[in-house]
Amino acid sequence: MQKIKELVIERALLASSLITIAVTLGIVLVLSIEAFQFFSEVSIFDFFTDTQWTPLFTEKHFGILPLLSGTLLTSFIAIAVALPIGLTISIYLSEYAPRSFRKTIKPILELLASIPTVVYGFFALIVVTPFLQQFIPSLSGFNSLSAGIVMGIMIIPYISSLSEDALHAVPRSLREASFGMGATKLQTAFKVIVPAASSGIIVSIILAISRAIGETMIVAIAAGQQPRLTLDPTVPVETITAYIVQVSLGDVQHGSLEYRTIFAAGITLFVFTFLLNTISYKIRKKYQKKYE
Amino acid sequence: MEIIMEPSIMKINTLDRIVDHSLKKVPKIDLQGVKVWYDDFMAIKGIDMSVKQNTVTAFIGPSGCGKSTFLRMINRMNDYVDGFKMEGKIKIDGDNIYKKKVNVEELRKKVGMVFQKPNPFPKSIFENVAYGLKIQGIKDKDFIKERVESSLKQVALWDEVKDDLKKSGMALSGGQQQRLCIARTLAVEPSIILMDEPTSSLDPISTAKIEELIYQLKEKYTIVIITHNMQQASRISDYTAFFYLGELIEYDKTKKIFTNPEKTQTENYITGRFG
Repeated sequence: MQKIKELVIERALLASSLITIAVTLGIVLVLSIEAFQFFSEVSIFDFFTDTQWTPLFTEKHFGILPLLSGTLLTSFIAIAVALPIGLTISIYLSEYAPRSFRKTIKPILELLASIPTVVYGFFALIVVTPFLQQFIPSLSGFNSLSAGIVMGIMIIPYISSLSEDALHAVPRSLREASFGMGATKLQTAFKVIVPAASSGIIVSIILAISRAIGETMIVAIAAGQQPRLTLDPTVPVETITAYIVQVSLGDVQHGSLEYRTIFAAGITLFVFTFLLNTISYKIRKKYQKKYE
Repeated sequence: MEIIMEPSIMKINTLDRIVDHSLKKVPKIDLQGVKVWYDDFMAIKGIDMSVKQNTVTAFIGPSGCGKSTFLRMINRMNDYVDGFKMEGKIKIDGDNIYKKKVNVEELRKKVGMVFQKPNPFPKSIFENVAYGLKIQGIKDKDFIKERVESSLKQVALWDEVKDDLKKSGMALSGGQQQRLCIARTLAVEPSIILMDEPTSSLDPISTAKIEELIYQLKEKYTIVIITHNMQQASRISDYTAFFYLGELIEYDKTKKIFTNPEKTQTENYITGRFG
């Protein structure tokens, strides 16, 4: 009797883990099939070289580049904001802050990541953009600059928290060795601790980039819905995610070519984040070995 | 640095004369009424001690007796410990190192430290040894190269690693790593070297090499070493200090401590009857 119970539980556990794998595979499968059908009508060459994305217009163009540039531009701005701030915070918390301060401030920082992104999106649209317009009068109402900045604020905890974990995991003995040779705290932090934790820091940055690329609500609300191949942060753009939202909410007919564009866009996005996550996983595995 | 070499210094049986002679000079390290607290816990309960130049002094005592805390007072490594408080004076070459205006970084260049577990930086062998010079802002590449080579030669590691100076210091064996750490310390040319159980994680052959090294280093440096190995203390040190529960129980010439200690506590400890 006991043995049967054990067996049932074991099988149940196995089944629940298989469900997750099945769901993931299912998503990838659906994405691939729909994308495959899309690419049977639109050539992959056009998809990657055409500089216009107008699947909903009468004159249709299917160039992913404008969406890609919108995605990369907002993500780049976000990282440019989050990286210096996040790293500074992590070094301060790990190397300078008293232990009690660190223990209180870290969870508070992590709260930033738990604010609903729709709140961030509105914040970008009705606070940050009007504020920036005082300095940049030509800034349009929807733009990648304020969306990127706000997204940067949202991903700060990804960088600060994970980097702080990595810095904190550097053995105390290395700090002592450095102090013992007459190094200051600053020298120790930048010449010993940061290099020793570099792989963990890189992982945190990659995860933050991956988060920024996949972020939807902020860019859909604040960056606009105009696919445009540009590096100008003051004009409206559209990201891959924002386009998917736009089409999903619209009245595009299921099974049509326009409908399938979201799968083509989706698989592009998936390839990006999958690559980034794989790289970070590889780095993390290498890093875990180092101090064992 | 002035090197005082008297012919008699090497002969243990004539140590008495040196003691009398050097008492007239300023001791290398002079600790007066040192008390240390971690929050409410009193780790060091008032210790006076003076250490002479170019000697090896061994700190012995059971774990938790305060010898490590006491050692770390000499290069102010306890400064970063939460709840650390101290009283008393510690003078090196006559200057109190706990005065307010003392530059702690400068002090630590003069008082090097070797730790219990080898702790090379995750950098190349060369960069490990060059680290101390680089943080001082020394840019002269030839000078750094020379100093790296001479430091590695002093610890007898040069012949083993001269062809792979670019290899990570962490790829070396434990004994090699510890000699690398000593070389790293020597590269900054300290005058005092503090060693906190430097051989406790090493095999007997590596231990013998380090002991031999300590014996040679004495010519140029003043060494204070913590050890749990009684044979080691008696082999390599000129003076031995026995600590127990935050107090200095007995401090004398090593030969005296190991052959005819004054206190029964000391005798019990070195003969292995407790601790």
